[in-house]
Amino acid sequence: MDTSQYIDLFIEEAREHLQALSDNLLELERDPGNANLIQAMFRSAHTIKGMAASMGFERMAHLTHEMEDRLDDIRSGRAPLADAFIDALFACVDALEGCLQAIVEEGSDASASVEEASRKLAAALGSTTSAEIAATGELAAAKPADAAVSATGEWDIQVRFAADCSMPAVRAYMVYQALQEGLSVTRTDPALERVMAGECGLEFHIFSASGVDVDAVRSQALEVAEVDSVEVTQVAAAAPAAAPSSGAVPGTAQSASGKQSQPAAGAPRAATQAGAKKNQRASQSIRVDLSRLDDVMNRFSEIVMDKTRLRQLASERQDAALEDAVHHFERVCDELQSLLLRIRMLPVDTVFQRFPRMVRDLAKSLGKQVELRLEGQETELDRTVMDEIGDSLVHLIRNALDHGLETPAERREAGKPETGVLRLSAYQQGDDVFIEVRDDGRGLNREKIARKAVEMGLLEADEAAKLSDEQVYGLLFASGFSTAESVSDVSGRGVGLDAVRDTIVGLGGEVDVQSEPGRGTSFILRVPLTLSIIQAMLVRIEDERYAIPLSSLVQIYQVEPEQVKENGNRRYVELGGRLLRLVDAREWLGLEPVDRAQDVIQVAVLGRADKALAVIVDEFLDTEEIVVKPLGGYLQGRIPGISGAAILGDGAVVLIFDAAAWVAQAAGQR
Amino acid sequence: MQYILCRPAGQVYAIAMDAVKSVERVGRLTKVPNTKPFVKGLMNLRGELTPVIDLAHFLELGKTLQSAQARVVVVESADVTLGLLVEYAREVREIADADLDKEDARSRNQAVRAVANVNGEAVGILDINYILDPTHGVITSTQKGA
Repeated sequence: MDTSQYIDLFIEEAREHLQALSDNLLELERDPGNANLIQAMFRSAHTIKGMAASMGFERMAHLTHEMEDRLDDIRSGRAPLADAFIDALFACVDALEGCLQAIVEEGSDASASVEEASRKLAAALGSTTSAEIAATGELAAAKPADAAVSATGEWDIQVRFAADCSMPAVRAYMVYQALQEGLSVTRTDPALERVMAGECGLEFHIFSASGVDVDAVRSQALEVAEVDSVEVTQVAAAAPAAAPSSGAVPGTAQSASGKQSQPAAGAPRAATQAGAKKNQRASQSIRVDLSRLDDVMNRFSEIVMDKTRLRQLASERQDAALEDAVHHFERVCDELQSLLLRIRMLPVDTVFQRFPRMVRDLAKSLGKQVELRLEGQETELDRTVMDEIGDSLVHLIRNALDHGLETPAERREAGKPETGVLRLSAYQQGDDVFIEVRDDGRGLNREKIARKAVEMGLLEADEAAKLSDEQVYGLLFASGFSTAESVSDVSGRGVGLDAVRDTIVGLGGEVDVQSEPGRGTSFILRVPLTLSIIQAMLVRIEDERYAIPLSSLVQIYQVEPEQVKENGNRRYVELGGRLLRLVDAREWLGLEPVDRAQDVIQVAVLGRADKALAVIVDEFLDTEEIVVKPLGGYLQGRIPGISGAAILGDGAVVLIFDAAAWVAQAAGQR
Repeated sequence: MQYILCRPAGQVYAIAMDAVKSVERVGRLTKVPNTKPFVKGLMNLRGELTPVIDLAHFLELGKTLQSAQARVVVVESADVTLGLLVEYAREVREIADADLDKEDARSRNQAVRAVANVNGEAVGILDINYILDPTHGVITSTQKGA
């Protein structure tokens, strides 16, 4: 069967099931008595096995088959649930992820290694050897010879697929794979060869000669995605016994004198409510290739530019009808824009979900006890932003576990509970999303950071004492800064917090750190909800225009020369009751300086209320909606103080101010 | 292989056609601060932002005169797209690999990977990867000394 066209679907579904396996495994570790979890994991393994087998990924199918057997042993009470077994299952999940990665990269899992996981799994069950397992497996398969099973006559298993099922043939084959072991299949309708050639309608029949455990068959078949209903009927004993290859005998099923008809439509597909909910949601959504979504967004950004241009033209013409039309067009555009932006949003759970496993493994390897609390997983974020922040969060979490949280012994000594708490929370505020990584560990050591900064030449020894705590903590983000005394596996290689800061600032956000000795540390990331379309103030500097995002513009002022105070080679200005550092944009951008000593100057206050910088520009122009574009590989990330560029309604390119970088540079300057 | 010939400041240089994305008229350029003087600015190329450098200036042959004949030759690698401003770019020539003389080409200029003799004229074959290296175009913060 040519399966290439289904590979994307396979990968995505396999990922979901692996995630479910991993989640349930973590839960099981916490709640070992929970039989539902074993059951759910058994189902995940079983589903992956079926999918992998039908796609020809043998290693994956093999390993999931073994997992399924072992889980069945646990489920049926034939083997106890040991810690080693949970570890072995984690190893299996890793191995399966390896298979999937190989499939993504090479189209096959042939290069992936599953032996180690398989060996661990066998070892975890103690003396039970593969042969014995196989025997008990067979026993288990033979066991359901109870009430629901009848040994006489042929059985017709009718499977109906959902009306919107995109590839019934694949699903049919998966159903066949899932069921064939427990049955003695005589034939299928359509015949298996035709199914493998991709020919199958929304209905598929499997005929079995032997006894059938109706409930088991039904639940197994229903686990295959997009299966709508399963009906198991016993056909009259006189039904023609066809050879396995004879294919379809039309009408047989319909003419069956079914006495055990058990329609299963509407039966819960999953044991847990959450599972059922998930399925429901899946049926109401479609999967769209991300690149298509990006295309739509790119096209739309051109419309936004046209909109701005039209607005300018219309205001020049002073034509009421045109004004009206443009006004309506603008409104529709705005609505369309918010719809499109919403389509691109994903819950932060998409990044959060991998952390429980990571935290567990890290805590184990560091000999620490941690409870990870996730909050606000439903908070939504643009997927481009989401793609960028994952690594930063990984870094912050590693840091928190390695440096932040103490060992159980240290915690006991400090009078704290042995298990530390790592809290990962997300929430939205206005057009920003905040993600906080907070630990209740030892807190940052001001003295140590200051000492290191002096060693690195970032700071003069006598300056350190004058800095506020916040300023000292800010030094952590300096390039190459690391206070780790020894370079550990986990973190402390000195590449890190500066990279985190660069990433977040590149997204137009910022990173903040707060800490209290003995009480813990929290890193707070602020990122914009969306990147692509923002409101900005256009300013003129020399003969070019620049854009300042309104989100980072506190206020604009006209300042009289006598309001400017000088202290050494620095200038300050008192605005809104606060004394702010004043810098000239021309100077910082490396442009031709002008003498403004006698002039009223135009000042933009950048940053945030508590961290602001006053910047002199030549002229304030207008606010405009701009479409943000990356600078391209040649310049991106290399121009200090500039985060990107935008194309205006008139086609001109303007550079966008990176306000956070300006504020940071002012704060870091000696 | 096919090459596009350009003549910055009277010298003849060749750019391999397989690196050339397009040849454009010179559009409006937005200056980018803290870059080397040969970086002319950002151009809006049908919605894509393309940095443009003055090729003659990059090769230390003086500045390109922006006449009506001037063009931007857009070259690209996997992750960098760059426009090269040249006075004139119309000739496309086939130059056989056998005709390339790689000896002492670098001594003329780091950006020249070989020299070819085309109809009695010495043509410098440009090393596009060298030109596309972003570190050559930007003033690093240590140089700036803010």
